[in-house]
Amino acid sequence: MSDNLWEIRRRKKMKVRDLAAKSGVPASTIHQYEAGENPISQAHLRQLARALIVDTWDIKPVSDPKPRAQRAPAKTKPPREPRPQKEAKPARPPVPARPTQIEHLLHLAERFPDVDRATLEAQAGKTLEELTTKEASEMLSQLQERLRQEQPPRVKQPFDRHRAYLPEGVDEFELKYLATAQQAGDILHVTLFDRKQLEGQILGFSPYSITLRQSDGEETTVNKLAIAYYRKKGADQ
Amino acid sequence: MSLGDFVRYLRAIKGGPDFWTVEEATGVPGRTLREIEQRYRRVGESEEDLQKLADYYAVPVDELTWRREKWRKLLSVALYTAQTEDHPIRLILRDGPTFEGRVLWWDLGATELDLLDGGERLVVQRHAVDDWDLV
Repeated sequence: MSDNLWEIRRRKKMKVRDLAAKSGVPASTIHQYEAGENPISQAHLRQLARALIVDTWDIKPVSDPKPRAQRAPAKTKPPREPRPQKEAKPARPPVPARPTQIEHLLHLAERFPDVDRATLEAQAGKTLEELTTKEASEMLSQLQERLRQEQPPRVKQPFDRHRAYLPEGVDEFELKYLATAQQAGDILHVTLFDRKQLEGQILGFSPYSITLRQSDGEETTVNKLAIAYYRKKGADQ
Repeated sequence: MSLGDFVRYLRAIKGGPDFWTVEEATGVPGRTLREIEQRYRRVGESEEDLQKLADYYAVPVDELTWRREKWRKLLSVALYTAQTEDHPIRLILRDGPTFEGRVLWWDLGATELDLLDGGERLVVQRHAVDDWDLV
């Protein structure tokens, strides 16, 4: 007695994507088989049976379409009652300026030769301590805007960088050193951790290794992790 | 040599097992192993993890805890100070000689020294440096 593919899959508590991953049959093909759109090919039947741990004859070659679950009718919400109009709140009493705002104002005033506490107070028509937060904020904005307008625009320098430049983040110095030595045909004398020594012309290098051609023609690639130090000998030596 | 460089070196000597293999053998999470080997700041806070690594690589745990205090950025600071202040530095290499010289350049992997005795120039791999001080 054979069953539909989707029935067996559900019995095994597998999702289509799990079956696809396990069997190697594409999920879209499995969907087609389960909908009965196509008969299951022999090759896929074997793959699916193996993945589901059943015999090939346990699976119907053409599945009956899955019965569609009946959806419950969508619940209709009763219309909302209009909210009662809130009473307008009484206007807040003015809040006195924060000490930090006054301090900031005085600090900014120092940047202008024609502005000081007296001129600020004359402009406001009261002492700074009597300002409200809103008034202090407006005065700060005016001074900041003036400062922005009067400052000369900053010229971008060629050495401007967005990020800190730390040599420990690059290996360009060593690569430059090796590139120069390679171009000059210098002989590199390398000492390894185990005290072994190698000498040869640089054939190539990477961030992790250096390849040398030794005097006997042998080419050796040394992992940098094995190198303790090296020095350059002149090409003529 | 920092703890990270040393552990990386030990892993290479052991045949280069990957992090998953080391994790399986030691129980130290792969994320921690990666951090220890790759980070520049001080790493290896867990004594328990260091003990497991010491057992796995068959080295004394004291060696790992000592190297934990020699993190990579400290060597960077020393090389930077030596170069910018034109101050000679002494580099003590692992199982090897000690070199004293002025720092010509330094980067991620190495530094070039202009040796004080004889004027010879030498490129030292950072992972080979066990300890250092400004002369």
